[in-house]
Amino acid sequence: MFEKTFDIVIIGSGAGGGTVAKELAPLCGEGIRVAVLEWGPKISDDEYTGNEVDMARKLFVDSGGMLTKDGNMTLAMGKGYGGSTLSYTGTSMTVPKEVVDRWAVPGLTHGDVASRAQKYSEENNVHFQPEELLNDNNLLFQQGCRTLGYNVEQFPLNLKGCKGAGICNLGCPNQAKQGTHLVQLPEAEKAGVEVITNCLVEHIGIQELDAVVENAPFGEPSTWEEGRYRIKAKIIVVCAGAVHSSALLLSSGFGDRLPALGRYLTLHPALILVAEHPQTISNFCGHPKSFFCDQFWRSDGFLLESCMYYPFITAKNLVGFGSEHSQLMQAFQRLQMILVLAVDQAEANNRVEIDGDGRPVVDYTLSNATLDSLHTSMKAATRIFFAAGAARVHAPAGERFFIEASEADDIERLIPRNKVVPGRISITSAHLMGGCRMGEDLGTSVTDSWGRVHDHPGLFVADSALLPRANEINPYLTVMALADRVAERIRSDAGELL
Amino acid sequence: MKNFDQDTVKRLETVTVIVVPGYANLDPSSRKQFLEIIDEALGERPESMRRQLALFLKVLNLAPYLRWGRPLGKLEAVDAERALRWFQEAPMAKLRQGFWGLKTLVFMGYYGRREVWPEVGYAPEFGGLDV
Repeated sequence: MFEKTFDIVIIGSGAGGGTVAKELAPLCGEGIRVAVLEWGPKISDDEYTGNEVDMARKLFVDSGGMLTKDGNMTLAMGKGYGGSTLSYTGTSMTVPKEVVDRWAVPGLTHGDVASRAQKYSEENNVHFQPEELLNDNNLLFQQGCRTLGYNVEQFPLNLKGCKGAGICNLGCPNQAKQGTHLVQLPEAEKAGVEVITNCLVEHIGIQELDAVVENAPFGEPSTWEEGRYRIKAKIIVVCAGAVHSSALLLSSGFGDRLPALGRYLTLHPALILVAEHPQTISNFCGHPKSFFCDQFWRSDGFLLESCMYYPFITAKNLVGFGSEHSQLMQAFQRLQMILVLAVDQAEANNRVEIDGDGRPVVDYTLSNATLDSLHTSMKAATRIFFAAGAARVHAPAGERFFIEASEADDIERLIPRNKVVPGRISITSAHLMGGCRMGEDLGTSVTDSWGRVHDHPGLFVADSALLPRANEINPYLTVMALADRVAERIRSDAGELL
Repeated sequence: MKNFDQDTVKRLETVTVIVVPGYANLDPSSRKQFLEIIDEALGERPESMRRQLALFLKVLNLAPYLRWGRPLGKLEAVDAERALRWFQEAPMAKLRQGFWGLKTLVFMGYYGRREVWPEVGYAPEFGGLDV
């Protein structure tokens, strides 16, 4: 076993880990040794092929095919130098005040989160794309919402030099998305932070951890030799994502004194809905996600977002098969798509567990309230599609594969609630949150409002696992803001801890 | 395929032609690609899941005996579709999930091939809007 010693080790390099690395990088100038251990490899620019199956293997845990314990939802979790920021669309939203108020974390204010989010908006070049760059798929969503009087807003995006390749979720081949792989990590490395890729942390102990370096069959090899490592560190910051941060702490034995560890997981259950227009529209060319509609956010617990996916993802999200399914697929250039994002409640029994080998198992039950939201969202999206001029719509809970425009007045009957059945329709987690939630009470939280694990002064969490409830909008900017807070706390505690 | 035996591959292809009728028109090299994609995906999954899928394919193939007195591969197209639809809508969650998982694999093999892009009219360009 190889041995290494650092002062601070950060586990994970996504929105959380990348941010912490950059924020702690100035400490390197004072002789403090900081390392980032990242499970996945660094993908070279020429490895972004745009091929769905290939990129899923390169960018996601289990190729994006991990399922919840009951088999009813798929979970996509990024890995690699940059983590999930490699495969998101770059939507950069500041969490609304009422959401932070609902979290009710003593010591955490919306003003604090918002000001930190603003800092990363500037750092990561967040802006609105000009209208001439928006494609029909997005503009039709906006048009449909406006026709119906629904509130629709444009997403701020963290792009620089976007060429509209349209495959953000498969990794940008033009390196336009300003994720941590392009902004925070290079800056951290420049200041002296060591980033070790292909390095999976298996166990956290008291001021030390065990990891294994094994190169992936793609990407750049790790700078460390392959093998097992024991790494000493006075401060450990866990940023492996909601599921893997929780699982790592559980498999390391922290669950015994932290009953909330792994619990209160929220997933933003999502559906992809598809409609066919009578004419060809621009859809797969251009940024896929320009607008969102929050008309039903408070009343029915869901958001609608414009989106565009690729042939396999599209095919698997349609309920049905055979000739009708093939017909719709062959109309790809006429397809408009909408993503539904349900706001699920944080419940203690929705949680991360570990199996006998210490691997994560996500025990999550779709509540009736969430299924109601998904049902209402299908009807709302169908109305938007028709208001935008669609000829026919495929609703996963539809009585028939297609609902024709002539049937638009009959949506209530044609999309019955009893067809919203888990296991029948494709439901995916859009964003994984919680499991190491912030709070004061040891029984219902894992860290304090600064990400420090209760009763473990040198152990921190700084990723989406901190969220005590759902973020209720795309969360990456919130994760960066919270990670920034954690880094501030570490800097202020450094004298005492190091 | 490394992860399914020949009989299981045959059962998989029987289901595939019903799920994606275009599969019947694929040439041998495209079929090989289809199977390779599925094989690689299966290789990443636990052995127990591969066994469950193989068993589920057997069930799918034999279940139509109960109603039509013939296996899935010997049914008229309309009845074959009806048989699979029953699994899609099945009252038992395990049957629905099994069918969903199998269908997902089939779609991955078929629509995960770059060669299918012209067929569906998907033509992404890295240069995007510039192109």
